[in-house]
Amino acid sequence: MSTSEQPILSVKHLSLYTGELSLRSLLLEHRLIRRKPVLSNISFELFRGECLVIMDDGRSSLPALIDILAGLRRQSSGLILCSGKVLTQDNPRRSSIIRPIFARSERTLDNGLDIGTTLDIPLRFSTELRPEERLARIRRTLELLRLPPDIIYEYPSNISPAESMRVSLARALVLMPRILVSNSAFMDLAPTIRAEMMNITMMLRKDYHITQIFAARNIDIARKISDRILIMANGTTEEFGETGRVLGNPQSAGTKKILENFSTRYRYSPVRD
Amino acid sequence: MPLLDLKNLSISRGEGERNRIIDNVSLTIDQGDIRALIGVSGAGMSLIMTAIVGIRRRGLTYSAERYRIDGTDVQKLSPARRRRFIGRKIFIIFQDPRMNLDPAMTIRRQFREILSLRNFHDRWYRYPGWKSRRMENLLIRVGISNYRKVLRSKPGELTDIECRKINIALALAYEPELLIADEPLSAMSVSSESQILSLLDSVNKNEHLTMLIGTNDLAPIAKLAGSVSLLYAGQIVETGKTQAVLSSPKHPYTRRLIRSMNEMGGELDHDEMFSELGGIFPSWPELPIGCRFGPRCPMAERVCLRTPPAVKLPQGHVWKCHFSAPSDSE
Amino acid sequence: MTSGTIRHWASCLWGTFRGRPLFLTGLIGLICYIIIIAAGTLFMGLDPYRQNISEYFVPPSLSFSFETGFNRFIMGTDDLGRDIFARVVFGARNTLFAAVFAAAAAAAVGIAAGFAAAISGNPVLNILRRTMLFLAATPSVLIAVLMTAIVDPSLRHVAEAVALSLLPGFISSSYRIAADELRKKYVIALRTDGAGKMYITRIILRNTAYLFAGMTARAFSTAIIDIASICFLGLGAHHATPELGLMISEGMAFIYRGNYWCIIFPGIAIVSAVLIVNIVGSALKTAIRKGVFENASS
Repeated sequence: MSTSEQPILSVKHLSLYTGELSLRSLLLEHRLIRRKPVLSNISFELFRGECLVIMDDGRSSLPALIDILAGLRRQSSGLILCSGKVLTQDNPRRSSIIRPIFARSERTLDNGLDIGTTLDIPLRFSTELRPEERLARIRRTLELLRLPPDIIYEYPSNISPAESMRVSLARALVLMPRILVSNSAFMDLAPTIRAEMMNITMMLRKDYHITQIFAARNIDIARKISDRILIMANGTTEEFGETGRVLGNPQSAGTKKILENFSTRYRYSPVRD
Repeated sequence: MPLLDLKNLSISRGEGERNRIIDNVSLTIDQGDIRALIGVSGAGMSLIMTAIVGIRRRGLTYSAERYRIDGTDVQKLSPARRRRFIGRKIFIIFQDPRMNLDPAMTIRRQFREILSLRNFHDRWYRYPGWKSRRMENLLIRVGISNYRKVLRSKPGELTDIECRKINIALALAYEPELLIADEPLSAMSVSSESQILSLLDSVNKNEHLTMLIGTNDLAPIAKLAGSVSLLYAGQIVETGKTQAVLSSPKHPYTRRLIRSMNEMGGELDHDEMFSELGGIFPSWPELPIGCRFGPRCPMAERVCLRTPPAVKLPQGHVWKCHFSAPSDSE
Repeated sequence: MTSGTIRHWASCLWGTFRGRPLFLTGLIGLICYIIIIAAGTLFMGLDPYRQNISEYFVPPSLSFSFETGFNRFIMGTDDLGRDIFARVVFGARNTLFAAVFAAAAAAAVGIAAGFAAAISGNPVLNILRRTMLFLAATPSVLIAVLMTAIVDPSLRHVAEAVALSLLPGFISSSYRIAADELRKKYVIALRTDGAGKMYITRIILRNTAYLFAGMTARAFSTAIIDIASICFLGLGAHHATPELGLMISEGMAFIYRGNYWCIIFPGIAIVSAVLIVNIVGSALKTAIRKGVFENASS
């Protein structure tokens, strides 16, 4: 990754406040709505084809950050830049640039629609392709993920968990996004399915240079899959940098504390012989 | 004498081997032990766990060769006595922390309900204020320091981790002998996970609560569980003490799982791929005959179409495979 | 839409009614009811207005001969000699048509308004919706009575008043249902796919249609009772109009003379209508839910 090229994703000083009506703030600060910071001053950079893992202290509203990146929420302040150009929430091309992966497929796939329609919806609304082109794109995506082409006639309740996880990924990929975001990095899946999904995402990074952002709960996995790591504490950036550097030589005390929390004493550690 | 002695539990949707969703599952849990039941996506696990507690689904037939709790043969009891007996001995915590709690009742009322159920062996039981003190103590025990506020709240106002801790507190209030937890760690952040795990550990050590924990991944609880049972497609493929199973896994599926745990645990380089199992996970109605791992097993042969025999080692390490002594170099 | 879709819905309907005697009874009851009303008002030449002064308070009798048809009045006559059966048939038609209008109008406007408020997120609509919540808690009859007391009595006004009284309930329920559905993950996924508000509305409507079917059926049965009650109070139809509630109020005086038939038959008509509507409504709700969520391929 040459440093002379521009980062594909650049987040600068991202902040999110929620407002709640508060009598106290009205009396003390003469302001009806009290601002509660959810995220403050998050900044990081990512280059094409890299994988970023975000680890937090459990109180940091990670879902809010993912929502903002995915375009579901508008940030209160700060910028998101994609290849140097500012990305706003109402940008119609946004869905084709950053796509979220929804993990729990039983809740995220509409059971009344067949898979083909579910995969077609993003294409219908976010692209100008003709129906034949859309079908071709769907077929290619299914092939890429090693799903049977007939699956477009099936309904979500009829397919296996491994397949439905891939369908969720297909739904994200069908728009050929540059960046994939996911809140769980497949952590809740059974280990066998998780291994498959991680291999697929690795292939997407290597062969298709799709940048990825995951939230992870496991240091070893984070170390393995990520190029850069962002540590969040109390809603702000605690530390950001290359994975090897941050995990091997954490600079701030907050990072050290968070990293300690991650090595639970009950976790399995491989026997190295 | 084991606390739970369940032999050959089968749950079927019809006649024949291919309709047996749960095929001759045996669980023998000793008192004070923590047993991890490892299975994929809860379809078989939840069935087994609810069957142990006596919850049946319509349309399924249940049968067990032996089902004893603390020596008492549960199947010989009348339905009413059976319900009371099982209810007294076992407490189950479901995957969704809010499923255990009544969303319309405050926590205090839910505690009161449980604490009023029967006489507890505490000579101060009849004294006024006993229940309040007990519920406060229990909440402190599970690590909820703002117990006054929590007692006043309803589940909807509390966070997930608080609800999980409250579930454990309610379980403790009930004083069962066996605690069954269905995926207690799903969708948790790491700090919450470690809190719950140490809580379970201390509850097991101090209150001597036997546990059966169902999960799809052994890695987070590998050092907590004393023994482990691996479930594949409704069959238990290997059971044994965690140390024994981890250090010398006998069944091919177990070996694969451990290899994948090693890889997830950091054995691979940055650019290496994880090893995949290949094939698809069988589910009803396409269940394989005989050993259900056969279609994906590297060592499978024709004989695997017949139900494999159980091979036993001393100290309770049991597995089901036709090849009783697979070579250790795989 | 392929022919498979029609087959799918037909099989869902069949699956809902099969093996559930309650639903089947309701369906049969509905068919009989409709036949009686349709045949009665269109074919059989019944006249609810004709008065036979000489034949007042004739008790009901079922004497029948193949040459002259029914010799006597099946349900008897009232104090002015009017055929009760004819009045019940026409009265049921009036009451039911009014109730259908009221429920359908309230449902259409209420669901549209509730959805619009939820999906557009407009704060003004939100405030309006909250005021509706208060009105929705009030018994609809009260609201309708207040309204009809202001205007001159007629069945049409009663129907309109009942429609207005049912409206707040629909608005607040549909808002809540839409808002809950909007929070669900699959809708969020649709939003990230770039789907517009119209498409999301369609999808949500499709997935919650069964809930609205149940609500509308309940509104329908409430409307029947409300309309009959208001007419019973004399605030509704003109006193010669056949209307079930009005007949009951007129018939109340006659019970003391032992002429039960003036009151019982309209009463049975109302009660059976409400029961049938509830049962069939419940069946439809189940059928629609099956149809949407159980797929053709399973």
